[in-house]
Amino acid sequence: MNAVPKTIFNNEHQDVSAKQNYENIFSLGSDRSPSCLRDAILKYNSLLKLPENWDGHCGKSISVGTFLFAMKMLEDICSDPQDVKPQLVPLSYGGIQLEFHSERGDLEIEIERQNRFNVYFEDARTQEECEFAGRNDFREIEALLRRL
Amino acid sequence: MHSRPTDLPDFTNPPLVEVVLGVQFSALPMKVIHAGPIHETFCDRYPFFEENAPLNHVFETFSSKVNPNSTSLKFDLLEKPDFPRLWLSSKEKSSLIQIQTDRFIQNWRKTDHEQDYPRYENILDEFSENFRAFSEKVSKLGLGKVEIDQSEITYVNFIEFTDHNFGDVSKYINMFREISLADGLKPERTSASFSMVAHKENTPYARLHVNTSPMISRFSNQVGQKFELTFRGAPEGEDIESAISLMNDGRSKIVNSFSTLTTASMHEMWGRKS
Repeated sequence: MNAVPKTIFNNEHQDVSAKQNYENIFSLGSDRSPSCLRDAILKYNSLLKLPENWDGHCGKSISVGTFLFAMKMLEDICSDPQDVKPQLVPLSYGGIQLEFHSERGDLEIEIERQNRFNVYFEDARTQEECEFAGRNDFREIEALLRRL
Repeated sequence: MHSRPTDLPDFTNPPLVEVVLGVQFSALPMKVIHAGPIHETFCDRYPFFEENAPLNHVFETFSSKVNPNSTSLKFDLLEKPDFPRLWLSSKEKSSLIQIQTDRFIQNWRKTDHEQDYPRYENILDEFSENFRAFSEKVSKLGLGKVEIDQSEITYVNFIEFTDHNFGDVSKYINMFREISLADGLKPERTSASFSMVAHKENTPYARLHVNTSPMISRFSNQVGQKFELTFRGAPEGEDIESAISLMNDGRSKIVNSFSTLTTASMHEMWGRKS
């Protein structure tokens, strides 16, 4: 089982406010961090708590490194104001999928682990589709996100 | 044994005071109890042991953000970390290994004013040998495989000023030559920080960070300018060979950039051979 550092989320301290929670696990520059990143950290930090076999089908827990890479990607590609909020989905092999859905189309980013991701995009108006793999260059993802 | 590329600028007496070679990897489930067996692996050559706060996991990524270097994201542990950053030092303290759950770093530090720079190839050999010993040890301890996600190399130079003037660094560093000042103004002190992106076939893969600021030598109390260059990026693969390949690439870019950014008169003083 991967090591999950003890954060306030691993303990039973349920009486603290959500704001205190994420500030204890992540320090965020208040003037720079996009709101979608803040929201994602608040909503999805529990992904780090997933135990082995979390899905009943030998699902692997998500490493801190993979989660941090996903957060770094969100920090880089999201901007304020941004209407499309991401959804984070754990994958059984220990990866994370970022999903952005709007009436204009769908963008899905499968993060296998640090520096390894696959992108799928579909434009709902033109039915145009594209797929590609990447490592640490997020510029093409930013351009697709702006189309949603 | 690694060998030096023949086309790199070479100095008999470069102003280097520290070289750092490091890799970052997916965090291993290391606990304090593992520190003993890990130190045992290196204790003959690195008998001294210290603990320090762990460094953050960093990623060199590329987007249209204005300031990509200063990430606002930092992972903090609420409680005392399970495993600190170990410092294992050689007897003479010039050679240092740093180990934490997600990093392995080898430092060479100039600890004596007369000490010669042992050269990159020798430091790399030491890093390579020690990293392999570390990987074998963590595997034997059942901590899993080391999967590298970032590789970096840093050269820290100390450029001694030939006079005691902190301000005018244009005689040492080329990029400050073009700064023209209004009448009556004289530079007092100079600091600068910038980065450059390395590309392969128009795709960015790593970044060179350059920082310079005034400092005082702890050996000689001489005033001078710190000139630090770091090359960091994601290696092609997760193995040590890929990480070393990126370090070699970074070393070439650092040495060439250093030569471009510093002046010919200083090159002469440092004994430039090629």
